[in-house]
Amino acid sequence: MLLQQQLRGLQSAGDDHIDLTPMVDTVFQLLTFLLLTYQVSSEAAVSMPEARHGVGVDEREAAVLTIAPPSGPEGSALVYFGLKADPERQLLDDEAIAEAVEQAVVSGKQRVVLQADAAVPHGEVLRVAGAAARVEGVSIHIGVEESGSRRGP
Amino acid sequence: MAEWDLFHLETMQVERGLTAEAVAAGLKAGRIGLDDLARPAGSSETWRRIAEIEALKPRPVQAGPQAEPKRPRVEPAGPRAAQKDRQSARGGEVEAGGKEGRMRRSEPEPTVPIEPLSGPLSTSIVLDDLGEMQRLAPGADPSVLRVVREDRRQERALREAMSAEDLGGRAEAEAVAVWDPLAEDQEAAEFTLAERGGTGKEEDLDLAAMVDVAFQLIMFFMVTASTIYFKSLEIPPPDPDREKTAQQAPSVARPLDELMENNILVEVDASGQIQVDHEPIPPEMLVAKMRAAREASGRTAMLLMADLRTPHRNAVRAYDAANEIGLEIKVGRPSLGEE
Repeated sequence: MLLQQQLRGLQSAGDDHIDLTPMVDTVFQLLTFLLLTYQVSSEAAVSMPEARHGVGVDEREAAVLTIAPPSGPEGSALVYFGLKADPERQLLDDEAIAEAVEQAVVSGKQRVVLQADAAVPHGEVLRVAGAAARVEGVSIHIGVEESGSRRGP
Repeated sequence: MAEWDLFHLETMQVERGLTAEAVAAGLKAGRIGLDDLARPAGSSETWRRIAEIEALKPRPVQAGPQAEPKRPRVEPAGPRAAQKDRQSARGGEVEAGGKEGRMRRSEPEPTVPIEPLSGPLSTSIVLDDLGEMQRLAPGADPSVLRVVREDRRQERALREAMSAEDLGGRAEAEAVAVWDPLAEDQEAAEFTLAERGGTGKEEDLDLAAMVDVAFQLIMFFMVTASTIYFKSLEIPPPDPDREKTAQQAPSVARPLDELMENNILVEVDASGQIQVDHEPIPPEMLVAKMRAAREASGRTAMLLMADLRTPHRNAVRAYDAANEIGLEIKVGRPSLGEE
């Protein structure tokens, strides 16, 4: 009995470390959940209008046209091919728009996303959409932002 | 010469076949205590304390210096052995106890002649003074076991010293040294379970491999899942030739009333004012109004006639409302006559 009591005392004296297995399991659960639910969205160069019922379009399947507000009250909207308002990639007329969309279709992108600024006139958006629709087989999508995710004023 | 079986209280071991002289020597050396139990060898008599047995109790002779006999402690072999070996460097010194017969001071013990067991195997198996059987070759000198005995005696001394230190002090060691015979059975059962838990606790599972695999999976999914998505609203592609056709043949343009037969008409002017079926409504009522119009007339499409100068956000509001209700979207372009 002396031996038994001694061993029990020694065993209880050594139980001073924390088992981290449950914490690791919980962390992996959180990581798995976030990996499955997280969707990376692009940052456009313009401030797009908000919408709650938009659907996601894979950037590998879509050609993006950025439409910025016109420089003057009577001017035409500035159209760029891609996510950024790069002057080197500006599309000056409808023919350039159609040609750019056609090249994107050749590379396998059947969707055209129009990321238009919220202040762009509706007629300019229809004009660009009409120019892109000249290419057969494309679908037109209006780029929006998630409702409540707008930054700044 | 009468032989005795001896039961050590502290070690819980039985020594058999000891002569009275061996017992006396053990008492003098401190290996045997007066509280240890003894009975004639091979008999089934009741165990009695040595102090109560006339033949074994020591003569009333003045003992030497106040050296308290030492009681060796025995630890069971197993996982604890490694821990004890680690602590063996502390030496065999033990804190002197205040009570008699509890804490012993380590001292070199004199050798004790080996008493062989009686029987046909006595020439090959002997019981040493520590109560453990030692196999001896036939005809061999039992003195060869002296080295083994010394080692084992030192080992026991060290175990006693280590157990006393591990107990955290003299008081706790004294508490552990008390033997409660009434709780022996229960504690024996608990000890069995505790021993299993103790040995299981030693088997730690190495999680490093699992963590590495998990991180590999995480990196794989992060790389493959890093796809950019554009949030968008799909609209029907405008007819690029519709405006030209309307200019060439104004009759192609259809009146709004005719279009309202199959479509819910939503008009937006340049300032952002909204009308549903020619009825002005506030923007926040757009969804409810369109839903009511659908339920009332069964129309499943929305025709958006927005002024070309109205900001794009107003048109998107109409698109979003149509998607919320599930209406088909049709985009009209006001004819030149109506602008």
